[in-house]
Amino acid sequence: METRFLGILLVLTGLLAGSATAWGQGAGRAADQVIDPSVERREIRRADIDSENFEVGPYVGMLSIEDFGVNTVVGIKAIFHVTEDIFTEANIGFSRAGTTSYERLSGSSPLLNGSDRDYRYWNINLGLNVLPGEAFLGSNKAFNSSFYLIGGLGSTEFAGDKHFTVNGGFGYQLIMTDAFALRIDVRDHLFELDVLGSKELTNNFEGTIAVTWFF
Amino acid sequence: MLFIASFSAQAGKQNQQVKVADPYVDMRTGPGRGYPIFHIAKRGAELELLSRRTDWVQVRLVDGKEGWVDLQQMRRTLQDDGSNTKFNDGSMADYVDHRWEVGVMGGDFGGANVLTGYGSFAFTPNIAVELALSQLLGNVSNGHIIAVNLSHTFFSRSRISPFISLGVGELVVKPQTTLVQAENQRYDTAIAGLGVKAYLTRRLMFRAEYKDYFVFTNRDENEDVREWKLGFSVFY
Repeated sequence: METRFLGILLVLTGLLAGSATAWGQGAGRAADQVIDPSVERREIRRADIDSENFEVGPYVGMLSIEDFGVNTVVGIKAIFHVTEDIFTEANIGFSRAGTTSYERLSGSSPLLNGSDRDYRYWNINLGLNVLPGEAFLGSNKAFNSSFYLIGGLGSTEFAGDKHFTVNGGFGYQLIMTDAFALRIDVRDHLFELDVLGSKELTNNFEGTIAVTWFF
Repeated sequence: MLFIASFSAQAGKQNQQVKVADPYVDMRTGPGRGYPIFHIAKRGAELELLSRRTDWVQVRLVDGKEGWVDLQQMRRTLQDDGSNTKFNDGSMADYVDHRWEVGVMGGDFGGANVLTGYGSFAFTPNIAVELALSQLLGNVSNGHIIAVNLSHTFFSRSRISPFISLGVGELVVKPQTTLVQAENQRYDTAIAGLGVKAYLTRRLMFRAEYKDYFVFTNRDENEDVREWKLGFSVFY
């Protein structure tokens, strides 16, 4: 025990003496330092790679405007992928309402005139990819695909007024090449309309097909 | 023109190469965990970086095989100087430093539905100027608001931060055609608001706000309209 204590003391004295001489030497040769303290700053490089989180493209389809028949709809959609599961989508679409059965059968004056028959809408939606997978064409070709649920809010201009619109539905995405995808969407657009006397909630179902480009 | 220039620059550019440092990395057929793993790249294999979609990187092996690798695994690959490969990311650190913000919100404006799109630019981590366009969709009238607000964010370095705002704007009200054939009415308005922002993930944030609009009318009394909204924003 005592020898160990002595040993530690000896080592400590040795260290002190050593550092004292080192300090003495260091003071003597301050001019030529052993270590150059200016460390070169390391450059942080980010990977040089293109991110393709946006998707944009036109769509065409059929829109059933409640009481006004099924009509062609065209539009443009833009998508931003937040994560592999979540994406946000914005749509602008145009259609034109046909005639109601009442207008055709009664032969009376039309309910809506001119530009009041134009149906224009925009919406902003949040989508959730729920079933990512692959679609097979023959035995050698496979396309990545995804089934998603989507819903959001927007505005519809129809019958001379703008209406607050809630929309929801589902869709299927088929990635054809690295840059292009096909999207098939089924939506219901819900808004209140009072063209036919009383205010009522209308269901306007829409089926569209879009070709989108990733960038 | 710029597009063509950048496109041709890309075409002539060599893709970056990185080296696998893990025992192996999984290569999937698509950018998502639901797509099957069809191949692996072993330690030391060279990966050519092709593109990136959310948290997945498309790579090409020397033998021409192409697949998608998870960003977590890509971060452990090595660049030619021996350092780990770094990727630009939306992160909490980026959120603290962000300058630009764009977002959408929905809510209630004095009984009418309101949908708002806004963009903001931060001069300092606390002070930002924002431009907001709102569409009002009510039972008896529609309208829109264009407003410029100055906001001050408290505790801007934390995940959840409250803010206050002051602004001016123009409110245009259009009565619905089925009721009366009235003309559009324009009002100047002063706006005071408070709200909260919260960082969610990547470049996405949540935002909720309450605003009080003082609408200056040419009647005896000015009107006071209250508004609340919730929404999402992305930042850069």
